[in-house]
Amino acid sequence: MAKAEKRGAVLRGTSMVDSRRKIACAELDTDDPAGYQGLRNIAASIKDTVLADLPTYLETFANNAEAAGAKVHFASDAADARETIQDIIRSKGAKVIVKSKSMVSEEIDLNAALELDGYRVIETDLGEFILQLEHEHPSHIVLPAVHKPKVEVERMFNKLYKSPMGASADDLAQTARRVIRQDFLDAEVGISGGNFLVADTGSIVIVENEGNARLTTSLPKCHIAIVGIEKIIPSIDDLPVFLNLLSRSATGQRSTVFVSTITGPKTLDEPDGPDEMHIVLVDNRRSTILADEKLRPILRCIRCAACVNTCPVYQQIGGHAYGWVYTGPIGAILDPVLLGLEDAYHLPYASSLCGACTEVCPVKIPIDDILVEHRRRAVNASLTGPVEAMAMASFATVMVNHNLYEAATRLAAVMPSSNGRMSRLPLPVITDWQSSRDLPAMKGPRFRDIWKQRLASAGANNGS
Amino acid sequence: MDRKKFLSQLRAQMPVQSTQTHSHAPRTQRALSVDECLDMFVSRATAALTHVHICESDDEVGSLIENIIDGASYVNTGCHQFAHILTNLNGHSEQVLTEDKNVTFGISEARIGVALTGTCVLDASQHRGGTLLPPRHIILLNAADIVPDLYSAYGIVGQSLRAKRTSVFAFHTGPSRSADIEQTMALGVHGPGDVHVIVVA
Amino acid sequence: MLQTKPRVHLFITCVADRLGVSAAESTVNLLRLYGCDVQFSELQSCCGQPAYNAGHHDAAKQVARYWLATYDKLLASADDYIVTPSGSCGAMIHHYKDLLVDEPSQIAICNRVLPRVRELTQFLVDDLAVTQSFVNLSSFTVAYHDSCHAMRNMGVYDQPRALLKSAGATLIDWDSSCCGFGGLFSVKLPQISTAMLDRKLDSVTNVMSADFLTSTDLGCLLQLDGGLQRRSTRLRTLHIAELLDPASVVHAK
Ligand code: SF4
Repeated sequence: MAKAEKRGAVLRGTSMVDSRRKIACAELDTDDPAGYQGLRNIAASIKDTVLADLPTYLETFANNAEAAGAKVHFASDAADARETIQDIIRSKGAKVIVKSKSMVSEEIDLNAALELDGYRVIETDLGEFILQLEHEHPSHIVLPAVHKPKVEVERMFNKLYKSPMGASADDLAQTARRVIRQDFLDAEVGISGGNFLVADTGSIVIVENEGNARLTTSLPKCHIAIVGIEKIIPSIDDLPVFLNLLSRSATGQRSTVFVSTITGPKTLDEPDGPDEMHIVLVDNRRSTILADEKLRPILRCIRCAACVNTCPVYQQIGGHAYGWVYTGPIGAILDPVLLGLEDAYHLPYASSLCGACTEVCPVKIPIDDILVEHRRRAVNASLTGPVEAMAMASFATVMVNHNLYEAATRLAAVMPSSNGRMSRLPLPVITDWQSSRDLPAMKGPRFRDIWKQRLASAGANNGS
Repeated sequence: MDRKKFLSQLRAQMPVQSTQTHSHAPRTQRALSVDECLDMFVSRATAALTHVHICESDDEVGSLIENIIDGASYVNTGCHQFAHILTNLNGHSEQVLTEDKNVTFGISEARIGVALTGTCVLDASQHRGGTLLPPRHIILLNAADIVPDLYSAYGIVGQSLRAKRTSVFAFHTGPSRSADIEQTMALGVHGPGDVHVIVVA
Repeated sequence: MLQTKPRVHLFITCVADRLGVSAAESTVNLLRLYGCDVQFSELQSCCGQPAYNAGHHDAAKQVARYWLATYDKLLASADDYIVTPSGSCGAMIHHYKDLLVDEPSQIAICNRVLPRVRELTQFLVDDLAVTQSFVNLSSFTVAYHDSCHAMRNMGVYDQPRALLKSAGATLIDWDSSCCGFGGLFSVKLPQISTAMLDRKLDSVTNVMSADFLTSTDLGCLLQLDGGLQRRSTRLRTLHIAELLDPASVVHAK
């Protein structure tokens, strides 16, 4: 598939959702007593309260969830999480596992492990289902297949399910519904993510539009939820704050189509639902972020992807360019911790620091500041190379020394030019910039020369 | 990993305990009168692609349902309040749903309506499969059960959970949808693609 | 309008000193027209942003300390202003408090100096309450580009638009997305930077039919102008000070 076509799909998709977000969030000023900005402050502060005392909240949550009949497991890293889940499933004698969207399961590479164990694992979210057919990974945390042009889906469904070329999005969705429906009915285990863990009721909350998460958590006899430990909120009374922000920020909806608040497995007098519920709480380096004051706000993230949709860099390069699970601005601040700075230090540099992400983040994560913080750490760890370090050191030397500054800027004044514009600067770093843009010639007097020549005295003449 | 060990390791990593108190969620709900709630519910649910009907009497509800289902099969997912209406339906029999085959409609009963989001709240007294598997869904909602916003709705959910556990509260707002194929909206991807809410005033 | 003649210390920035001389000159003219006593110290250089954004904070701190020392000495009274024709550099100055957080003596200077820093249009509108223009732009259509840093970190949004409107200019509604400059970003990742630039220039077709493209930031203008040079268009890039200054080349007959 042509790259340009993909880029077009990404740019169109993200811009569309971004403009819907803007409208929906603005509506909160009339819909919510706190207003949009007020809600952002409240949400950030609720999250900070939890993070300041996370172990206690986790304990409360675990106790309440278990009182409700769920089994809570704690996993310190990816391997621990995978093994925990593998153990649960092994005891079920399962063959078919249905999954609804979970970024943590991508993070711990769960599917590969389960498939190795011989299970059939079906991603049921339409976008993820499409990607799974092509062994691709999501390129976006909310719109997993945003990079995929429709015609590619037509082609694939044509090959696999004899769906006609030119089929409408509705028809393609119906085809997927038919195919996945049988898996829902067959599956012994359903694996979901979780958007929130509610400490005071022991509930998990799942937000979605398709209904696949409701089915995943309702039909199979065993439900396993994998959730990052940072997803806790103190009380069910806090939930509306986050739901209002999440659905509007993520898709521009007032509410997503389905929001499930799940508290334990089916009770005796309920007609259906899973007999067993497991909640796997995953650390996987989140505690490293927690311990790091500068980075801690990252854990407020509710994975709405507003920052991704609004990011002019993401809009151009798409998610796969980030090379891992979390993409866009949130990926650029999260991946360097989850993967290690050495492997991901280049991600924070893929930003013009325009700050659009920070402006839209519903939980007020200072994303651009954290990008700079990662860069600072990359520099301190000597990851950016000696040439840049030398250049920056001499930049500072010139800028804090009046005589050097005078000499350097005067030197620039006599650099070669043609037609009043320089088409190439004799500096290696600038040549790339100039391959698509011209730099005005650095010739003629500097402002300070003009000031001396005529401006200073003019001021004195009509001065006070 | 062992819970005690996990939590104590996490505690060891924690920064010095701060005594932060958070500004609480606004508990004040939007002030909407009963009539305003109904109007708002209708407009917001409609915006979310729900077909909203308002009925004044049981008879009206009964004939409306007959009209909508038009001879197709349906399942009563657990209506109590409105059970008598369903038993009076002409020409249709309830069937217990084991799988989705051949059942076109699920008919359920909402516990709460949310005006500002146009949402119906179903609890686990409703057969989950029945509310999700059939391609079309009819939800009965008592006008008196419509609350202004999510704050009031989760207030009720919280109270209810504290009194007696219910395994799920499902907030339904419009038909199942996906925009995963190039941002073109497709309805009825996994859940019902056609949703009728009958508000009984 | 303030009663006494406001004293303004220019922070012209290294970019304007070298690459934006006419913008800098118009800044002076404009401030004087609006009744300011304008001062310029030759000791000034740069705000340190290139090093700061690249993560070289030791280098950035050096420059920040130098900048603070320079302007701390210049401020003769607590009412003096420091005005810059570059919102991005102004925004950088406001990062000093975080950057130098471990140095109490520097923080003390920050507390004195930082509250006096203004971007040019912000100063004119918010502090001088300017509503009258010295130029007539009523025959021109202008595309205003929001500098990300001016807009998000300094709150510059309405002020430049108000000034252009008071001069009678017809403003084109342009999206606020980034032009892709980002200093070192445009050097490290030139393809992405250029793609952002193209998108910005493509985003509204009638932008191309405007007479002027303007902004409060020379970095953005360099980037935008660089892109325009490769397209055939009559659209000219000018700093907003040049547009508003009756003595600038725009208004020369
Ligand atoms: S960082 Fe903020 S905007 Fe981005 S996904 Fe997380 S919550 Fe949403």
